[in-house]
Amino acid sequence: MAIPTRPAALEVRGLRKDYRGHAALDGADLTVDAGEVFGLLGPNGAGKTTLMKAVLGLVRPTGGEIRLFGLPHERRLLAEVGALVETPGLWARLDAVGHLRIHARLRGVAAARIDTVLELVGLAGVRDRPVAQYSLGMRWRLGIAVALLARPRLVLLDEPTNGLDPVGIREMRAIIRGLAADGTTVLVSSHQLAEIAQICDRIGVLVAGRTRYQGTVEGLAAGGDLEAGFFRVLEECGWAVR
Amino acid sequence: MHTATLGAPASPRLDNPSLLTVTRTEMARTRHGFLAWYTLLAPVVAAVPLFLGSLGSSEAAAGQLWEIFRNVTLEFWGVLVPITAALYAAMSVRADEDAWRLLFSYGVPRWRYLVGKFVALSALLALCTTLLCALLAVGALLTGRLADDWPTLVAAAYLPWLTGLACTALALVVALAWGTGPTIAVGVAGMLGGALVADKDFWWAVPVAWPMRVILPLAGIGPNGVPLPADSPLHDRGVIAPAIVLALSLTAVLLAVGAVHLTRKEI
Repeated sequence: MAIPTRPAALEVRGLRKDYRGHAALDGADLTVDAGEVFGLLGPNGAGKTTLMKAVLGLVRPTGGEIRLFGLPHERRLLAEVGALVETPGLWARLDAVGHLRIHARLRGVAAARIDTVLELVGLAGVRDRPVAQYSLGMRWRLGIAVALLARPRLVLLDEPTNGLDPVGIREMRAIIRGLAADGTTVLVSSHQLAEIAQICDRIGVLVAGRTRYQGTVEGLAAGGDLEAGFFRVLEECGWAVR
Repeated sequence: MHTATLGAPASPRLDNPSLLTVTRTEMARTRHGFLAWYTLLAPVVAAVPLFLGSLGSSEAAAGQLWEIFRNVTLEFWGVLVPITAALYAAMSVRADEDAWRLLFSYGVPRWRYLVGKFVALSALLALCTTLLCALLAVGALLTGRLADDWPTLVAAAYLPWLTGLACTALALVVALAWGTGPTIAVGVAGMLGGALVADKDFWWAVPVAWPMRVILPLAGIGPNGVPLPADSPLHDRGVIAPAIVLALSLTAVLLAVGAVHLTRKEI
């Protein structure tokens, strides 16, 4: 008798996205297991953000398949997904509570959850301050709070440490680890190889829209050097590395 | 590779807000900033100077203070409806530009965002109309004409709003498809074109002229605010019902087009 396996939180098979003859995704494959923190690496223009957008239904794939929680991708399944892609998407005149209240209403989340996520991202003390007065790091943290509001099973974070100072990066790392400890699946893209090595269970390397590596951090980090392993993959793909 | 296919379905509670809830979230976003200030100030900025200017007019000296105040204010209102709709749509859509990425990543059907925004903006324009109506009523009260003229006043204030719904829908679709600049251009063209076309035979073919067209027979004025001659065909109130039907029909069509556009929109 076969042992039933828990379905992957996200499966991407042969995903393509063409923009006027340019393939942003060229048959990308990815499997993110439930409960793991999966790091998505790749140079600029590799297709990391496009892949996340396709998962979120923000762009229509030209081909391939996306499965969420074992099911073919459909809009209602996005109720179980939280995301922070490109920018936090905030309204400058609203305060943190105003933002979270709007998203809570749209997502059918109890208002009590607002306090929880504000505490989680460390914004409880500035909850009533307009976002226009927030630092970049505070805006990103609010973006994370919005992403976590509906207790998603899968969280997509697109370069969440961009623009953060070392303190902010450490806090973000703690948040992601906390999510993993709660059993939430996290797909995180980043250019910070050291960060990825610290927080991820597995990683994938995307180059020119294709998955060139998928496996453990140790598997890519030749002799413990993740950067060397990453550049080796790039060179194998013919990527010009100076 | 995993073979299981039984992921738990999303809770029906999540990402399924009613249209009322979506509209409330839109209203919450417009409570601060330009839209709120414009709604509160536009009627005051229009009506108060016009009233003060009317005090020194020759018509006022001839005992027609109320008539001149009412006529120029309603004329102004007919011109203002298309540009107000455009400003509302342009500013509201621009404020959401970054947030769309987040909002569209939810399971919420996108048409609800469009209709919710349309309802919210229409409600704001209704509030703006109500303030203008109140200011006109104060003018009528001060000149002792409120008891006689209030039905005309209410109709001449709210029917442009009703026929202006198509302007709001049009501006919203333009804002979503092409952004702020073209939307403002549509509003300015509507402001000018509406006044120029409202008294022409082909008024029905130009949606931005409909708000002004329904004012003309109610207030008994031309698009320039001058009282109509007694034998003018523009006195005919039979145009009001077709204008309303046209406006509601076009609104429905534009919202359907906007919903399709938004559903297909890639960000």
